[in-house]
Formats: sequence, C-alpha cells, structure tokens
Amino acid sequence: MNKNASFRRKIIYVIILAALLYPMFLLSQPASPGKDGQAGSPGGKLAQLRTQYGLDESELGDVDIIATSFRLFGLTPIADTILWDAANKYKMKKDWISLSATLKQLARLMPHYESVWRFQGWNLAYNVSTEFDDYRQRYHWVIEGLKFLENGVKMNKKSIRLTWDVAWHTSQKIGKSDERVQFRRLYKADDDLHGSRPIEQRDCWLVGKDWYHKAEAIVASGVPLGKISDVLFYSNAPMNQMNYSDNLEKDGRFDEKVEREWKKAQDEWTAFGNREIPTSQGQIIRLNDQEFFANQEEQLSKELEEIQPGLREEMTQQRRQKLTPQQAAAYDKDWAERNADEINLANEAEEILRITNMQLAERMAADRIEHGKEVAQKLDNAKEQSVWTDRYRDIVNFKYWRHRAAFEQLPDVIQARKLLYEGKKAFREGDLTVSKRDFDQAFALIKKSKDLPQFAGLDDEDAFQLDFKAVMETYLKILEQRNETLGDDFILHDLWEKSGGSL
Amino acid sequence: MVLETQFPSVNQWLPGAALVWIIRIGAFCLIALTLGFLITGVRMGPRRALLIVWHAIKNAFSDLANLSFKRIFAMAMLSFKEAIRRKILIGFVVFIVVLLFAGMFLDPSSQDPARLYINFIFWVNNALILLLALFISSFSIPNDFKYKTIYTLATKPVRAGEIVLGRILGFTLMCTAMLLVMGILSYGFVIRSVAHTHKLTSDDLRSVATTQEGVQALEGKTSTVKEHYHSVYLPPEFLKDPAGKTVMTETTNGHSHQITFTGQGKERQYKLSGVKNMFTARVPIYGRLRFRDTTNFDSEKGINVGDEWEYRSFIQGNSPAALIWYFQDIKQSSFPNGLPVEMTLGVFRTHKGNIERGVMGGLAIRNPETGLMVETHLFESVEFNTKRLLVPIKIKPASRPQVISSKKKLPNGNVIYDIPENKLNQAYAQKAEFDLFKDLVTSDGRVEIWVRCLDPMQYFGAAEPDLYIRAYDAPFALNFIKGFACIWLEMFLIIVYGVTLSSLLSAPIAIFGTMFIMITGVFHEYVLKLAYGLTEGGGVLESLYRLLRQDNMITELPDNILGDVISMSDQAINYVIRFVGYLAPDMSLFANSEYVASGFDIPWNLMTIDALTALAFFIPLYIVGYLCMKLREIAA
Amino acid sequence: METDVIIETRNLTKTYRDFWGRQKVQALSALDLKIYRGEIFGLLGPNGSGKTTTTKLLLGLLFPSSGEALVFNNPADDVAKNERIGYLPEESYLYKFLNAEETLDFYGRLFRLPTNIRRQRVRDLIEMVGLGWAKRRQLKEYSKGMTRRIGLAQALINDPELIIMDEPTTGLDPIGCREMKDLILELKRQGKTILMCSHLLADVQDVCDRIGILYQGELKEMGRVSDLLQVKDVTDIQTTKLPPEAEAEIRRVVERFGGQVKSYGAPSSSLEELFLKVVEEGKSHPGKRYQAPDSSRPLDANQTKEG
Repeated sequence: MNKNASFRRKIIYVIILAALLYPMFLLSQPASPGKDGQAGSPGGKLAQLRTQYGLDESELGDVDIIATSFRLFGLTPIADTILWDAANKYKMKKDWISLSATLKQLARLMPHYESVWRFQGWNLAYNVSTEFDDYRQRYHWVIEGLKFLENGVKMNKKSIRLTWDVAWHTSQKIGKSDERVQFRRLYKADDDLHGSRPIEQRDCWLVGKDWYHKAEAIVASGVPLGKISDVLFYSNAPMNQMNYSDNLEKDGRFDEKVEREWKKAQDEWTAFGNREIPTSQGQIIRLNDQEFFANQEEQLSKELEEIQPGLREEMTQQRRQKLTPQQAAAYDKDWAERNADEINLANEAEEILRITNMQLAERMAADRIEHGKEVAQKLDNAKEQSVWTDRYRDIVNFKYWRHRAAFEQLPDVIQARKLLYEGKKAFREGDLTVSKRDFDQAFALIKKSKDLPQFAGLDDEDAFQLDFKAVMETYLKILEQRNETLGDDFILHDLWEKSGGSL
Repeated sequence: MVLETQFPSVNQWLPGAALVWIIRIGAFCLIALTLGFLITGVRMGPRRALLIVWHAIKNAFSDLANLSFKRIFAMAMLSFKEAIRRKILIGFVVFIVVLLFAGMFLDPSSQDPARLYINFIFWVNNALILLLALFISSFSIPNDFKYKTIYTLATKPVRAGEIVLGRILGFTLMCTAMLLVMGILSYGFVIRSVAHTHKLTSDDLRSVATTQEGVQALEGKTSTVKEHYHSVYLPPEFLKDPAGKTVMTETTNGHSHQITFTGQGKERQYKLSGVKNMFTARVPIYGRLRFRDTTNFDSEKGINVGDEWEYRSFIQGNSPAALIWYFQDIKQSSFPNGLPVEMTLGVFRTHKGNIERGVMGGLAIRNPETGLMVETHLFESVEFNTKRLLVPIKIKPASRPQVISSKKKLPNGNVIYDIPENKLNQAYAQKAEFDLFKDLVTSDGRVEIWVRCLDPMQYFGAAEPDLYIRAYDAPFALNFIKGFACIWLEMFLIIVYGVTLSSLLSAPIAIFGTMFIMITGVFHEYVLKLAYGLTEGGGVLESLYRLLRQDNMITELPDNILGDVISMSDQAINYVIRFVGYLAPDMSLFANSEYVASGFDIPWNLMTIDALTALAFFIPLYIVGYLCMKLREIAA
Repeated sequence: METDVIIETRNLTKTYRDFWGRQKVQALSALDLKIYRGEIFGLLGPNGSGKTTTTKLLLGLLFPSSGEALVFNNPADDVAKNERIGYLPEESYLYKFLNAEETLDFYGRLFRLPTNIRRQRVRDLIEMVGLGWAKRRQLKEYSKGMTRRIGLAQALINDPELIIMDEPTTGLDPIGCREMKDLILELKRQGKTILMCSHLLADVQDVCDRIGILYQGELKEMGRVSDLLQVKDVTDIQTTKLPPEAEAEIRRVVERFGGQVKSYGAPSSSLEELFLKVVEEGKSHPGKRYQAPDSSRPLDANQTKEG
C-alpha cells in the first residue's frame, strides 16, 4: 500500500519536472548562428535580451566552458598571470607556435577585456611578424594578428576601438609597409581570408574602408565615441578611398576606373566635410563651411565698419593715450628690432590697443548700437566658426585632399601619372631617352593642370611638394645618367623652388 | 629544437654525481643518528639512549638482511587492492572528460599541431597521474594507524621496511597500470586528432612547362582542411607511370600527404593519403660549436645582435666569419648515402635587402686533420624553419676549395693553430671531385661543418644544437613511450615521497609536504638560485622589507643595524632553503615532452640519468620511511 | 623438568608522557610475570587496569618506559618472534575491503607459508570458524560475531605456539562464547600457550589455569585458579539422582565424620546449559514452539516448566 503511494508520487514529480523543462527551454535556449544560408535562431528570451543589450555570448559556439569554469572558480587572475608570463617567455624564445596558442587561450579567458585583444593583435601583426625573414611568413603573421582582432570583434560587437583597429591595421600594415607590393599581392590571392569576396574587392584599402564603415555603424547605433577624436574617426573611411585610388595608379592602372575612383574619393570627402563635428569647445562645425564663414566674416566686418565709420580709429587713438611712453615706443618699433623687454612692452601695448568688435559696437551711437551689436555678434560667431573650422581642417589636411581628389580626376593628370609610371619603368630598363621624354611630357601636363584657377595654392601644400620631390628624385637620376642638369627653363621650376629644391 | 641545457653522457656524469650522493647520504645519516641520540638521551638518559641507538642500528641491518620478497609482494597486492577498492579510478573519469574537452584548448589551425597536441597530452597525463599518485600514496599508512589495522600487521613477522617497500611497490603497480591505459588512449587521441586528408581534383591542377621540350607537369593545390592546404607538383615521370614512385605534397604545418591516382584523362581520380611525416623521433648527432670572427680567430661566442635571449650568437655575412661544428665518430658504415645535415639558423638583417628571397649562406665540410675545406651547398636561409641538406659521398664543390687552419688567441696573447701553417698542403684542394669519407672525414671519424653567411650586412646566428647530423629516425611510438617513462619516474618519486612522509605524518600533512616537495622540484633552478643569493632583489627578508616599504628592487637596504640584521638572517635562511632545495629532485630532468613534441628522440643517456636520479632519491627516502615506521610507537 | 618460560616480564613499567615529557598516566608499574608453556593464563582486572597495555608491550606495539618484556627469551620488539605468535584483539583490526579468503591469504603470505599449506590452512580455518558461507563477502559487511571469528582465524593462520587474546568472549552470544571456550581448551590440548585478558570472570574461571589480577597498573594477585578459588573448608559431592530416603542417611554419615550438610537437593543447571539445550533441540525439531502449561491448572511449585 505504502509502496504504491510512494511510487505514484515519484511519477507525478517526474512529470512535473518534464513539464517545467519546456518553459525553461523557451527561456534559456542559446542562439545558434545560421548555417549554409539558413537563418540562425535567435534563441530563447534570455538569449535575445543578451544580444539586445550586448551582454554576453549568446551563441553556443561562443560560450567557452573552460573559461567560464575558470571564472566561476575565481581562477581567472591566476590563469591570466601565468598565461601572460608564458606569452612573454615564448616571445623572447621566438617560439611562435606556442605564443600564438597562448594568446588564443588568453583571449578566451577574458574575451571582453578589450585591451588584451588590441595589444596582442597589434603584437602579432607588428612585432612578431617582423621577426621573420621571409615576407611570406611576415604576411602570415600580420594576417594572424588581423584574424585575432576579428575574433575580438566577434566577442565584443559593440567595441568601436576593436573594429577600428581591424580597419587601421588592415590598411596600414598591408598598404603602407615596406613590403606592400608583396603583401598586397598575397592579400589579393588569399582565398581563405576573403572567402567569397570578389578579386576586385580584395584590396586592403577597400576592406579597411568596410571596417571603418562598420565602426561608424556602431557609433550610429548609439555607442558614444568617448575620447576618440570625431574628425579623425570620420576621416578614415574617405582617406582609405583616396589611398585606394592612389594605389591603383601605383599598380599601373590609368583607365576610367581611376577617374571614377578619384571622383568617388572626392564625393566621400565632401560628404565627410558636410558631417557635423563637435569641437573640444563644444560648438559644432562642418569642415566644408570654412569658406562660407570666411566670406561672411569679411562681409560682416565691412558692414560693421560702415555702421559708424572712423569709430575704430577714434578708439584706437584714445587707447594710445593710455599707453606709457615705453610701451608706445616699443610698440612702434619694428618687431625684428625689439629686445626682450621691448617685446614684453609691445605685447602689453597690443593688449591695450586691441579693440574687439563688441567693444566697438558698444561705443556706437544710440540709434545704431542695436544694429551694431547684432552685426558684431554675428561677426564674432563667423570668425569663431572660421577659425575653428580652419584648425580642424588642418588636422586632416582637408583642403589638400579636396584639391587632390579633384586634381587627380583630371584626364591630363591621369595621363601625367601614366607617363611618370612608364617613364620610371623605362628608366629601370635603361632606356633613358624614353624615360626623359615621358617625364617631360608629364611635367607639362602637370603644369597645365595645376595652373588652373581652382587649384591655386595647391603647390603650397606640403604633401603635394613631397609627392613632387619623390618624382624629382628619379628625374634627377635620369638627368645625371644623361650628364645633364636641371636648367632654368625647367617647366616646373616654381614648384621645384617651393619644394626647396635648387636648380 | 631548442636545447638550453645539454646533458652530459652517463660516464661523465656518474662519478661526480655518485660522489655527491654518497657525501650527502653520509651527512644525512650522521645527522639522523645524532638527532636520534640527542632526543632519546633527553628522555631516557644518555646510557640508555646509546643502547637504544645501538639496538636500532643492529635491528636496521638485520631487518635489511631479512627482507623477504614474498612479504613485500603480499603488501604490494594489498595496496593494489586497497587502491582499486577505494575507487581511486575516478581519476580515470576525469582523464576521459579532459580529453573530450581538449578540443577547446587546442588550436586546430596551428602551424604545428603535432607539437601542440603532444605537449598538451603530456601535460595532462603528468598532472593527473601525479595527483593520483599523491593521493593514493599519502592516505594508506595513516589509515593503517587510524583504523588500527597496523596492530594486526605489526604482530605479524613483516618488517617495517617491507611495509614501506610493499606499499610503494603496490601503488607503483597500480599507477603504472593506469598510466599505461592513459598512455594508450593519449597516443590514439593524438594520432586521431591530427589525422585528416585532402581532396585533389583535376580542376585543382594546371599544366606547367618543364625544362624538357613539350613535356608538361601538373601543379596546383589541395582542398583546404583544418585551415591549411598543400601545394602539389606532379612531375611528368610520375604522370606517365606512377608505378613504384612516391610523390608527396608540399610539407605544410609539419606534414605532407602521399598522392596516388587512377584512371586517365577526364576519368582521372586523385587520392591523397593520410598524414605522413608528422610524427618523427630524430636521433641527432651534435657537434661542438665555435665561432670564427671576421679576423679569422676562433672563439666560444659570436656577436650579440641585441636579442634579449642569448641562446644564439651571430656571425657577420660576406666575411671570413663562420659557424663551425666539430663532430666525432662519424663512420661511413652509418652514412652510406652521405651526411644528412639539418639546421635551424637564426637570421638577422641589418637592412631589408631583397625581400623576395632569404639570406644566402654556404655550407662547407672541412677536414680537421688536413685543413681541406670544400663548400658543398649554397642555400637560402629560412628563419625558424629547419633546413635539410644532404652532403653526398661524391662532392662537386660549389666554390673553390681551400686548405686552411683554424687559429685561436690564448689569454696570454699567443696564437695556436689546429694545423700548423707549414703543414698545410694546398695540393689537396686541386681536385674536381671529392669523396666525403676519403678526403674530408678523418680516419677516426672527425669532421667539421662550416656555415657562412654570404649576403653583406646580414647575420647568421646559431646555438650548438641548431645544426646536427640526423643519424637515423627512431620509431615515434618508442619515443612516446620514453616520454611516458619519464612521467613514470616522476610518479614513482611522488609515491615514494608520499609513502615516506605519511609513515610519520598524518595524511593531510603528508599530502601537503609532498606537494611542497613537488613544487620545489619544479622550480628547482629558481630555488637554488635564491638559496645561493643569485636572484635579483636578494633573499627572503630583504624582499619582505622592500615589499612592506613598497620600494623597488634596486633600492639599497638601509646602512644601519636593521640592514645588517636582514642580510645576516637572509644568509642563514639561505642555508635552510638550500637544504630544503636539495630535498627535492630537479623535476625539469623529467620534463621531456618537448623532445617528443618536436620530433627528437629522447637520448638514452638522459633517460639513464633520470633513472639513476630517481634511484638516488629512492634509497634514502626508503631508509627514512623504514626508520619512521620502526621507531614509531604503534599503539601510542 | 623445568617447563620453559614463554613470556617473562621484569620490572616492566609503562608511563604515558605528554609531548613535553611530563608524566600523564602510569599505566603499568613494575610488573613481574612468568608464563609457562602449555598453560592458559588469564589477566584480569577492571577497565584501565593495564591489561591491554601489558599485551601491547608484549607484542611490541608499545615500548617500555623501563624494565623488560621478553617473549621466547627475546625482547618483545623483535619481529622474528611474530612467526610463532598469534594475536586476537578485542576489535577486529582487519582490512575492511578484503574478503575472508583474501584476509587469511594475505596474512598467510606474511608468514611465507608454502602455497599449498597456506591454501589448505585457509580452507580449514574458514571451515573451523564456520564462515564458509560468507568467505567471499568483504569484511565491511560482517557482523561482530563474524568479525571475531575471522579475527580468530587470522590469529591461528600460522599455527602459533603462543596466542594472545584480548577479551576473547566479550560481546559474543552464549553459543559463540561456548565455542570460543571450547576452542581455547582445544588449543591448550594441542600444547599451545594462551594469554588472555578479560573482565568476564566466569569465562576466565572456566578456562584459565593461572590468573593474574591487575589493578591500577599493579599486580595484586597471581596463582592457579583452582588454588585461589578453592573454598577450603567445604567438600563438594555430586551423585546421580537418589531416592528421598537417602537424604536422612547421608546426613547421618556426614555428621558422623564431624561435618555438616550445608545444602541438599537438586542442583541448578546453569543458564548457559539450558540455553544450549534449547538451541540444540531447536535445531533437531524445527517448528516446535513454546507451549504455556494449561491455564486451567494453577502452576505448581513442584512442576518444572516444559519446553
């Protein structure tokens, strides 16, 4: 009798347990990634919440049992110390296999610790890779570093820095290193890395640009940039496009595609210029607006003076009275001849003599004072905007690149570049006549293009001059080989002089 | 393989080691006797104490003489049953579980999976079996006392020594059985985890021209499996008639596959074998390395190029500088096809040079008797990869042969030559072809291998084990077993320590004590460095002082009495640490998994040294165990 | 002929000291004892009197504080003597994870018995102690009586000359007790010497030849049982059942010799014998039960209970 009752109770408990499993399953089913084109499942409610708030690994494949158990037992710091120590030891002993494995274990242990990913990804791509003699090995380790970072991104989908790191290292390490020719070649042929990406797209600059866009998307989704500079951050993607276009020509392409890509670069740069960027002072500027505000400043300045002409000189005179004789004397002296004391005095004098727009407006006649203040206010605004925009432009060399993108689009310039490329090739092959001819023709085209009115000031740009000097290096070698020197009639002599070269 | 300490041969090592051992045992016995005498003397008066000590010594010898193997075996069987029936086999379950989750730890896309996997497997086995041995051995004797089964045992004619030995034997048998099973499972795991093959189809291949007119070879690559693929080159002879020819894929990630095909034309099917050449156990012959600098003088060390790790030393390129390895006992009978030389050089570029190719080097063979030097190979270096070269029997020189001597500058300024200059006979170099063993290897088997760097402004670096002659390959399975034998020796020592300590102490203290010994053994080098005052930051108290004051390591101790007290106490403490340090064996002697993982045979002399070391610890520990059991008042 | 002395203690003293050497307990004081071959010696005394201490000293499980303990004329801590002795402790100090066969086999091996002799002895002893049905079960499943029996078996595995027993009958049921006592007597008959400690006086009285009484570590009394217990001034006569008329005449005979009849009548059997009889009949007539005498008839003092 008793046995039966106890047995029945057990069965009832088992049924209740089984019934409870279903709601638990609904709640806690892990998300699974899509396989072979099928959509993955978002998982139970908890998994969805996790993904939504970016809290933790929700896919089963991401959950690391070993690491989780380590965390449960509080062993992470110990394991971490041991592993990091071991990693340093392996690096010293150049045991790359063990280093790589240890770094992966480290990252497993603390997948959300951004600096681990960043440091070790950089370590692999920049430090370990250079230890190798063979460029193929170097490439392999650069890619290992990139893959490592990409894993980090997978684990930290909301990390701007990690995504940005992938973009930056992909672009720089492959596109700007000493071995870039070889690296770019290997990169293009790397089927495993790119998977289904078409060959046309397998350029480090384009891939980098994609990653930059991913980083921008994270910011757009609401994650704050924090201490990262806005203007630099948003300049990266269009700069990659610029570098890509540039690289196309370095690889020897001079067809319509180049023109298209430079146009694209120009468009992207303009879009970048239209972006609203907060300054460190708090106001919002747009890089494209600098000319507008400069113009406005000029007009308003004129307007302000015309409200009450002569007021400024009057005020200046009054102020001059306030100067001590020494200050006045120092101020009047030519600045080059001032000694230390006089410089100080002159500065003081300048301070006293400075009349701000607001001050000017306030001294205006009663009926004009309102208007004056309004204009003064607007003028000050415009000036500030102009100044700050200018400053921020300098950070990214905005004007130069705007010019450059437009410049490079010109068919003449493309032709010039082609001639330079072929000329260099001819020089390497020893054909001096052809190379000089190509160079000269190129220079003529360049002169014609750069003298166009919209490119005034282009040859004052440092970057442009550097570029030119690099070209001139080869040209001078050609001349040397031909026992010639650079003549006064050199077609780009003004640019050459500006660049610091001598005839 | 990186070998930071090379082990001497047994004959060189044994006399010194044996002497040290005898001295230590002698000192230990003396201390033990004196201590025993003093302690008993205090309790029972000196005369009686003397009698007791004398009695104990007499008993010890008679007990030793009366050791019966049957009784020891009976005790061993008892311990064996005890271990099994106490369900120690749970350890097995842990092992299986770890293996199952091993995939989490291991990096399948590694460039040397064999090495990673083998290292991992050895580590797991080592950790598990040591823990197991520790726990099994430390509970047994204390349990005898706790449950008083020792009373029954002590009233039987079993000697104290037999109890200790029998237990050691029983636990060793038990753990050996477990290690055997774990070893077999591990071996299977490694082989299986690494096993794979690739697909190769006609689409993957394309024709390439060969040096012969109109004859095509095929080139391409296999499918990607485990994140790698192999390049493939099928020479025309093979394509025409595959019978009897072995064609392998390119070696990637430490292995290659054999290619076979069936059918013709469009019907052709290619098949790739499983993994080959991944598991090896090379038996290397090492030579003595010396460096020749740019002024033609030899020295023990080369140039330091700024590496933190001073394992390798460098020589300059495009100069007379050379790396010279001196070999002995090279017999023609062992090398009928020539000398297989393997080298792993370090390369240091002062400028990038030609990125597309490695730094060029030259390998030459020199006869240390006649001075004849013939360059046999010009090679392109690949850093971190092992280059294999075969020096053939019939050598056509790659550059003009020379006859030179090697010179060294002594500290007093004199110069000595290995062959006096007037004995050099340039006629030796006037041949078009040379015979390896007739011209270059001396009659008693001595020969030198010279490596030079040919590119200017670049450097080659090496340590002594970086270049060796690959005498032959031992079977990998045997090497695997040898590696496990080293683990076995560690396990044996743990059991001995466990049983010995537990004969005097309670189980938890015995476990703690044995673990402490183990840890001291693992960090043996560091502990001894500390004990001899060679570590940075001084001794125990000095470091404590700095820690409390939050000073860094370079801060000096105060120049007052406190500083003096600290220094002197540290010296005393260092003596104690030294003593404790010598109580533990140097566990790094047994940590030989890197040999197996890197594909090198564990040298037999190392195994002998290991075994003798284990024995050297076993004997005194057994005596201690015996004394503890014998002198212990069982029913107290 | 002087029978040889198996066990001898001279001035044997044992003091338990604590760690610092101070005296804690004086367990045994100056014990002088001789035990001869072929006798059964009983060591009596209340709990804590030093009986167990003496046995442990004789077995070498304890070291004497002063004095000597000699077994077979050699010091007690000489391991070789163990070849000839057997020890039956009060609790079973046997390995619980072995079964009976393995236990005896193990201890047999420790004596280096040749294999066939060892196997034979194991079989015989298991049969002798009646554990054949449980010989494959691990000792941890044994009851107290079974454990005692296997303990006895291991004490005899080497056919010892001297057997030391600590409380051999304590805790046994009457049948087991009887069997144990019979065995002890049998062993004596085989010429073995037995030293047993007990505080069950009746059992000691039944089997021992000589006894010693310890109290607080000192030997208070020693001698032959018969001598010590002999009541000197009484003569005991037992006869077969006599008709009632005999009583008067016997009284007259006794008085004629100057004595006095102290008691006359049917002797009481011991409870032990009753118990054994009941068990015996229970084996031969299973199913038979106790029947209360007819309740209609009042119990008569002369009527004995029927079983």
